[in-house]
Amino acid sequence: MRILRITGFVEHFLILALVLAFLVPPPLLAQQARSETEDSSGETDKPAYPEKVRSRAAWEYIVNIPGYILYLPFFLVYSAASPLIGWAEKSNIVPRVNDFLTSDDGKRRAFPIFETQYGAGLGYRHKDLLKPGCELKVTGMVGLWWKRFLALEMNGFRLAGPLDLGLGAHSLLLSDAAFYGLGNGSSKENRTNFAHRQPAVWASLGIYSGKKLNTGLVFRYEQNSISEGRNPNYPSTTDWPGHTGEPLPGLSEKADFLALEFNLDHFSLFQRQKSAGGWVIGLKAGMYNQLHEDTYNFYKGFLDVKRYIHLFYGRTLSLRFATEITRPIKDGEVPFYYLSRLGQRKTIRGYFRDRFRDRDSVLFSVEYRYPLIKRPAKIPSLDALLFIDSGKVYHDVFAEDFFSGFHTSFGGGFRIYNRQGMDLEFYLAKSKDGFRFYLVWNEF
Amino acid sequence: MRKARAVQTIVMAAALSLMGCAGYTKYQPPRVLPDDTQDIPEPSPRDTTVAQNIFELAVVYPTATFFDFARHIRSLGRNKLQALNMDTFGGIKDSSWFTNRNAKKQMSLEEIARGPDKGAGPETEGPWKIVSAKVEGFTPGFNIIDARGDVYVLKFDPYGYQESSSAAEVITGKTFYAAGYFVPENYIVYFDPAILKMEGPCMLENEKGVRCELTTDDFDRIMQRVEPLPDGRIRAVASKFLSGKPLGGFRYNGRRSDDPNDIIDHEHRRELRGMYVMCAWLNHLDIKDSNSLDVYVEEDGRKYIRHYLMDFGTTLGASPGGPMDAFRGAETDFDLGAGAGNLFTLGLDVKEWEKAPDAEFPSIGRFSAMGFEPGSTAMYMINPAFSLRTDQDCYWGAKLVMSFSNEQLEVLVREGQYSDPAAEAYLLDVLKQRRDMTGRYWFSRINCLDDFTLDQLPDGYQELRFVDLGVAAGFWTERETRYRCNLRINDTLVKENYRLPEGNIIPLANLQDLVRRSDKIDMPVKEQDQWEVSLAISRDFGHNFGKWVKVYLKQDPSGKFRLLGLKRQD
Repeated sequence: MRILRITGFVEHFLILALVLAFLVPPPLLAQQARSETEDSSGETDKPAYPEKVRSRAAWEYIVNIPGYILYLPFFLVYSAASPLIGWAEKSNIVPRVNDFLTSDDGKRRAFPIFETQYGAGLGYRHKDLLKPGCELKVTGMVGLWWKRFLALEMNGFRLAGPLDLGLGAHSLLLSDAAFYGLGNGSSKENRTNFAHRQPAVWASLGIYSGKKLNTGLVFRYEQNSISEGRNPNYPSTTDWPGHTGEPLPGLSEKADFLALEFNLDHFSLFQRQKSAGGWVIGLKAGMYNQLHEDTYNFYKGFLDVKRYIHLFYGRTLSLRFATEITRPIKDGEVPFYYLSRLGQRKTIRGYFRDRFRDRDSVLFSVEYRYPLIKRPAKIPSLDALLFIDSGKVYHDVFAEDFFSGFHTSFGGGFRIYNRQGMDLEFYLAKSKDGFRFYLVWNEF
Repeated sequence: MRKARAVQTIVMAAALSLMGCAGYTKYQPPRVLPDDTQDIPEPSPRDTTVAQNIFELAVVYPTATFFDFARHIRSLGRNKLQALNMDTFGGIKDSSWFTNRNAKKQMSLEEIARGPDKGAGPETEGPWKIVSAKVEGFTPGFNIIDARGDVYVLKFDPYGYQESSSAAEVITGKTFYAAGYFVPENYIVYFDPAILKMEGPCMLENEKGVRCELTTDDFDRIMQRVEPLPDGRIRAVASKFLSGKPLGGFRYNGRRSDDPNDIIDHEHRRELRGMYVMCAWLNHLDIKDSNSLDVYVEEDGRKYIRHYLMDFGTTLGASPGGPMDAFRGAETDFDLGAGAGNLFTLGLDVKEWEKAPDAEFPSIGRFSAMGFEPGSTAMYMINPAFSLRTDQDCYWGAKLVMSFSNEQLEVLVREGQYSDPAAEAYLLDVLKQRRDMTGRYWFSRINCLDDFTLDQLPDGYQELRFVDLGVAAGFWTERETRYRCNLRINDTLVKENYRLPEGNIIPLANLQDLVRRSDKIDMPVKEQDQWEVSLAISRDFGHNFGKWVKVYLKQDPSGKFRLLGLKRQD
């Protein structure tokens, strides 16, 4: 103890450094150190072998002492990792797992997925299940506060001629869905949370006039129940009308809906090795009628236009315009969870999820993607992207000032992907709400 | 305060060490290395997998290098450690790694064509017994035993790119052999697939890397991936198993702990550092442990480890999946440096390789002289020996490359047995262009005066002769070239900027005369005194002179000079 008091931190550091310098093989000389130890273990009856040639001067060992210390944790991790990697390769664990998850013909495939809204899980895809073109998708995701998303979907079952049948069901539990109030001026300080449970089944009939244009009708049955949120960090939305004094349509209620939706999609996106471009347009119009009661009846219209412009050598500019309109039918009302929402990864990044809610919304987005590391085949490629998102919610888009009050965010991100199906995206976005980070793995 | 003093001490120690490297130092010839083919006990095979090797090169080595402060100090001080196995003239002696061949004495065209081959390849009448099979990766392969009982690895070209890999394997292999490296015997074979026989159990490593027993279905599936010739035969390359006990690939850093002959860290071996230049020339970019092999061989009653280079199928323009990817040579596999550059330029800087056109000849793949940068060709991943290379190592490598004459290259390309004469002519042209680009690049980065000899004249005088490799290769003309020298005896500068009147000859009598007339040195010059002739080259009629090469001489008791060695400025 006395010695410890007399000597200072620096002395301790140097003593430790010297001890470690002798104990830990220097980073680059690990092999050499091993060699010399083993050589000197010495079999005296063997002929005298030549002396090793030293590749370092004394000063280099001294200068490297801090380096040895800093490298020590890496050295330990790597020393443990290397045999593991060797074992993984020899045991073929990766190809075996891959073999287990993917069929020989590539038609069946299971893979991990992650999305910040729902959590982590597994996706499964089975192509050409019953008929060529028929695809089965199964998704299971679980996240914090036991939020979950389970879905089963089958598309492209050819009935006759160009008529396709699709069937699906999902069970959704968003246990910490956020509600900040209504309107374009809602404040982030007013965050509350609620649990939204929604089982649904649907059937679709599609007509395919060609590869680029698809149209279809979807019949959907949904049950919605809103209850207290499970995130204890925020007050529950069920305490509403704490903020406004007005009742919030759909809160603490169960409501069953029967919906009829019409879809028209145009898809002319091409992705080649050196370029990508084209249009992706989605038009959707739907009527939602509450079953058993007549409180909630409304219709929604949705238009999403994305234009991908190939600039040069894999650099792509994408422009997006999206708008959503929600209107009650006759004296009906629109439950708050069916209102148009902005503030999430697919709308204005940088704002909290569902940060703004109202009947109508408009969104503009510009995104520039460019390759950082462009690789074919198995080696992962890395893209960077820069974006500006801007959007606004309206109570009535036709009656209000269209241009004022847009919420704008900007940011950038990376995408790592390969041709074997790996796809990892992360973004960092800045808005008035602050910075938001997004991570998506194998979006399904 | 104390901390600062400790840091100060370390920095001063380093600075003093670096300073010790500067100034006049008497020439000390490098240590004479012992023969590394001495008899040694049998080592055990190295058990490192490909994934471990990649992990080591991609993760461990860069981290270790980052914390290697001494190395950074050396780099900052432009005091890179030179190779540890060079001789007095910057070359290397024959060893278990390398044998001086074409650069030492031009090989005959027959020798070039024969390369390492000792026979004529497998007996193509068959039968060939399949021992094991591999379908992992893009191209399948078999291990076979021919009618003579020799074992070969049979490798096929990628479908749609016939001749590409097999020709590359043979051409590059023979080129490396002629340069001095040890390579296996590779033969291009044409055979009837019916001679392949499955007798007894043989193992298959399938597409997923799983080992199982080879079935007839597997065999048929493999053969479907092999493109036959119009006459039904199949072209492949047969690589003969090396005699001796295979011990696994060698590392490009450190040493084998169980090889007493292995006394130099591999990253400090000139033949490995300088191999970078050969690899860049031939587009041999997949340099990793698993593409090499240590073999415990027996020769003249001695058993020792010989170090082989293997697998040249992914060279020139070929790769297992077809033409080599366009980014190869410009960037490493996951090139974070290039990625960072692109990030900050917002991708506006389009790289040359991104504009590269598709391969002109499927049998050649993507291989051209356009955009070739001999000094910054990127390998698949970091190679410890390459990353420590100095200009002197590369100069040595460039001499290997430049040793190949046009006729020799023609013979080598012919060994690829291309069916399209235009493809053959294209490849030959590209190889010549890249060879010359390599020579011009490295010969301009370092003083390329070489082959110093002391000639005895009939009148009893001596003259120091040298060859200007740049002029000899035709990169510069004698007309535009000037030489000058400084003469130093021990630490006394006797004469500075002495222009050589007779090109590449220095009559030593002239130097002695300079000494006699100088008042800087006490006469007579003693026998133990060391003469240092420092030569520099100008390629612009004497306006600017480049780096020096110092030639060291000593007189014997009879007054005759002898060459001690030389040093080059890096």
